[in-house]
Amino acid sequence: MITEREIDHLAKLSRITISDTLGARIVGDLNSILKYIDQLSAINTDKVEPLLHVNEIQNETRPDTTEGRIKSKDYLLVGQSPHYEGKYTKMRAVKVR
Amino acid sequence: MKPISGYTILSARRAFEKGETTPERLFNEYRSRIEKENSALNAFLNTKEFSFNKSDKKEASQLSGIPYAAKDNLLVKGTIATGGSKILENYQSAYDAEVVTRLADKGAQLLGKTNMDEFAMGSSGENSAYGPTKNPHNHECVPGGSSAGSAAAVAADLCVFALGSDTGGSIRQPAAFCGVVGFKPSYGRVSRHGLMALASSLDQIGPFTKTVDDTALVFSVISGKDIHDSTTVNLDGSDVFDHLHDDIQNLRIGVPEEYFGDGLSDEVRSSIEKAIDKLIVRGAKTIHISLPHSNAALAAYYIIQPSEASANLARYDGIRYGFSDPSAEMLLDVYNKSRANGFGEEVTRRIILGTFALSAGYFDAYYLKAQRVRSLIRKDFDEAFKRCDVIIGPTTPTTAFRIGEKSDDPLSMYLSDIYTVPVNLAGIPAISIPCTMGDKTNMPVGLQIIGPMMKDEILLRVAWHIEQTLLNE
Repeated sequence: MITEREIDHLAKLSRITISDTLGARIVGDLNSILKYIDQLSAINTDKVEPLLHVNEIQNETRPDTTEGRIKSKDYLLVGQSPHYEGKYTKMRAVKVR
Repeated sequence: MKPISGYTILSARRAFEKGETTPERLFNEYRSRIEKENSALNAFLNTKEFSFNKSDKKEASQLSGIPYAAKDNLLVKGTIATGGSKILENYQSAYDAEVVTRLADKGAQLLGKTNMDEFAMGSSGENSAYGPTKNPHNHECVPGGSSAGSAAAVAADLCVFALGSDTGGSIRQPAAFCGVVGFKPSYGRVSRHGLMALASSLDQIGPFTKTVDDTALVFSVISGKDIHDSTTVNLDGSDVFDHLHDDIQNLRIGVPEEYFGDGLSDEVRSSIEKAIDKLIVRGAKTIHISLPHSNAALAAYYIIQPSEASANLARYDGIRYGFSDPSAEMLLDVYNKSRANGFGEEVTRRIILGTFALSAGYFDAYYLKAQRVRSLIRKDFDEAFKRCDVIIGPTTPTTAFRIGEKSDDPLSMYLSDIYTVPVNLAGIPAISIPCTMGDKTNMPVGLQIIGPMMKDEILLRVAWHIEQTLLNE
């Protein structure tokens, strides 16, 4: 069971401010979803490896060259930031002294 | 089953050859149709940034001059891509998605971008920040989701074909609800470069079409190795159409008992059973199989998918692109407020769920457990395909439900994907083709055909033969 206090902690980890009303609604939803998910605990997976990737491919390497470079324009890259100056993204202060 | 109205790729091709129309005229005809009908359907989000491409440098191909639509989570350089989210309201794409490049190289003409559940999270099209899409067969019903607009656009003949993405059923489920063909290729057959990531181990791009012929034609162009997506495999799908009509002998159809259990509506059951009977008459052999972990698949999916989504959606931070909350004063506020005001409720719910499943103390019990179950699901399919060539069943438990019917109950919404998610977890290909109309709701029923890993060509060939059988009644 997730409690409303835990939702506050998860909201902090997720970097999303969640109002009390939304939090209460999400607690209810998540608990019914988790109750449904709980059926997995009845399945014996003691000797089962986790499936990490469906295609069993190894790490792919290639020569260290710049082939396949995506060309774009500054206004479509940095310029998509809500706040920018020249070629730099602007952001708010991390900490007030 | 009656054919879907309007041009297919092949019929448009013939019309071009006979001089009955030209690519530009056809493009403009579709534009007028969209202008007239989109206000009722809300299938398209953006057409104004797209115009007929007159360049004659394009390679001559079956797709030359064919107008299509793309889901709004696919990037088209210099144009807006919202992903159905307010947080990307004015976001302009920096480059073209690989599938868009490949289609453009063959001369296909992009009409516009289609509506979708926010970041592809939803099964009804109701989670879009830009309003719900309506089902063309009944405007009070949902078109399915998350590729809601693409499915509705093909069904209403607002384009010849459309692209969507499928993470847990987001192509096949709306294709079934709207009565069109929807195909999710094997994981790795189509590049996801330029697709907004939802759950990276599950996402795959595929087409919505009016016929299986057209599905094969689109797949032949969009599939193949891409250096920008390291999960793409080195398999050439370019000749799939050439062998599509080849004869099939001694087809063995697997019918999984788990797909015909509780929760399947009577009208969908009877429609699918009648279709299977027709195939038996035509010489196919049915084999009763079991996929014992089918029910566990949805539970595993709702751990794996939100977990991956919570990581993938971390990039929408109010700093790099899209919406940023103007009232935020400190960096942490920018994150917290921009995400709170930019994301809709379902996206927030899944980010929280994913964060929970990945957090300290819960990782082994949830995420790792789900991945172990995922192995068992894959094994179920591997075992089944030792005895049959394809697996057949319903795409969805019911026909399209009413708008608002499930929007307050996430779990019941999730259950509408119960037959589609196991396929994504296993990575295998599957297609939904129109069956009959449901005898109670008079809404389309979709027949799902599932194939073995990387056998997309065989799956499409079987699907073509089944489609012909269902059409010839």
